[in-house]
Amino acid sequence: MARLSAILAALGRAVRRDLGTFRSLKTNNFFLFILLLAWAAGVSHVEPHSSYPLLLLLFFVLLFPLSSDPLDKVPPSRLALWPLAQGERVTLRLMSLALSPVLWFAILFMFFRRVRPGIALAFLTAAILVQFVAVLARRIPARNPFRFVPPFPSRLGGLIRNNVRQMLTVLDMYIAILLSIGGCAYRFLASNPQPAAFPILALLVGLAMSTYANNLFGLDLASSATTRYRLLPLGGWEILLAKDLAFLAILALLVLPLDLFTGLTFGLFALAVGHHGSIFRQVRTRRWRFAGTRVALGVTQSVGGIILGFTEHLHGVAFLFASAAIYAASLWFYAWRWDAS
Amino acid sequence: MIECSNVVKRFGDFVALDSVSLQAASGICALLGPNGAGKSTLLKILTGLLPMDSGSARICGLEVAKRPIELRRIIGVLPEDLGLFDSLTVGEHLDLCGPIYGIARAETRERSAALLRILRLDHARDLFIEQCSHGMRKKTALAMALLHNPRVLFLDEPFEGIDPVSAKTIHELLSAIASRGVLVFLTSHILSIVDKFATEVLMIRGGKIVWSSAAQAAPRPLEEIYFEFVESQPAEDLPWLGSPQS
Repeated sequence: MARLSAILAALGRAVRRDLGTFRSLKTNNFFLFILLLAWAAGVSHVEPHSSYPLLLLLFFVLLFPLSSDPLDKVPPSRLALWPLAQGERVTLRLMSLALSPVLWFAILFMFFRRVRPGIALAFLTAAILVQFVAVLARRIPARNPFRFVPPFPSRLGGLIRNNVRQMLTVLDMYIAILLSIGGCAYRFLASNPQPAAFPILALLVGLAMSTYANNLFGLDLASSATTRYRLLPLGGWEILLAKDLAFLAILALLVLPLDLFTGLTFGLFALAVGHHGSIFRQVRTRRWRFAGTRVALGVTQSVGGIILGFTEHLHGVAFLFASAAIYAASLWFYAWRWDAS
Repeated sequence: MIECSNVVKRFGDFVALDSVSLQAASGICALLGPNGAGKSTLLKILTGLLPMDSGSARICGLEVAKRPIELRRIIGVLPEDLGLFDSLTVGEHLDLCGPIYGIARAETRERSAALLRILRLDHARDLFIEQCSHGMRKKTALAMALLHNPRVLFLDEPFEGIDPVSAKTIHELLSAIASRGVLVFLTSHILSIVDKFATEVLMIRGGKIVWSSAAQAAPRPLEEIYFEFVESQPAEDLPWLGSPQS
């Protein structure tokens, strides 16, 4: 039993630390936007209905990392080497399930008066299915979907491909993808879609992606890629541009069926502001988590981007060029700072 | 090709490099020293990865601190942390480098195939870096350092974690390119390999160059010199190891 409790204590510590990596959510632009909606509803003494679908979307995406097997935190070779009897291994397997955050949420739902047990069970089933898909994806590396990200033209093409793949390991992108899919479904399947909804949806897609733009090198900090950037014979502007083009490529694809120009106006402004965080406030971003940033940068991005985006929608493409000009100035300045550092 | 004089680097109060001066013109120059002696710091300064506090360094006549992009075009580097991208496969790393160094795509493909073949990595071409062993990653980083035909090659511990056949191949490859005029500057812990093929050996301890083969006339075994000038073996025993199990 002493052996088991030592392992479970270590697992508990690992799960606690792992949950700590979700802290980035509290400075995520999309999450802050949901809070703002809920707060605004609270101030007006109405139920925050408008925030529910977005919250549900966020929670659905969170299911993927939250449903991972706690026992996965022990390297399989280490687990196999420990001198545990078969009975102890079975006990460990069962007891480790109690450390799964998804189980905690399911139990919480069951005790929450307004949620029926069926919903809690559906939640658990969804979590198990999600985990099954994740395990399947890990076991079949030849089918790694990232292989389908094509090479891009130009001499920065390899870097852009790497950046696109990196972006797809951050949960923010999946919120944006789901929003875009939802928007497409609304546009093409609804009997009478409201045209005014599309710029709003395009801005929401941009908002979901924008936190990542504040910390473009966050994922590189976890690997040795930052060293490679310093060794390649490229100027700072080329390195930043490769990051930005990957961001804009994904954004353009997602907002194309919604409102391309409004989305790009937001995206260019978000990148222009985000360069500051990317150069001066680099924070390690973890894979399969939400990106986090400084709240002040996020607010500047969101408010400025939404204003510019709406203005573009109302008054024309000149505001897209204005956003592009701000972006170009930011690229020039922060590339110079990169080179000087 | 490498000239540096009075290079100083401090990390807070810790002096990592204390007035290091050296010159290397051709061949294979090996820098030896214990962990924390300053080998990797010196390599990082010479490759522009780390700024120096004072002193000067030139590679092929280019001031390291002032002309970083020109410098990066003519050097190949195997850095301590390898400098690889988690989201790219082994082959894609080489495909990425070619165009950046101005090599045509067809030529890049040809060179990549040859490098992967000689480094016994051709079977791993489509593996993502996170699926590769440490040795495979190191060989990928080495292939990236060689792809653009650099004039000076900086290698941080190139033989560590490499299988014996690949180590011999790398050793022969480095000897061949050094004989064609490329300067190879490497750090290593493996004295037997360095003893066999380095044309010049430097030893560093506490951030200072304490021994240089260029300044010595009488040949002696490298191991003997290393233990005399750099560090001696600890004499402590661990009596609990091998005692009846607790």
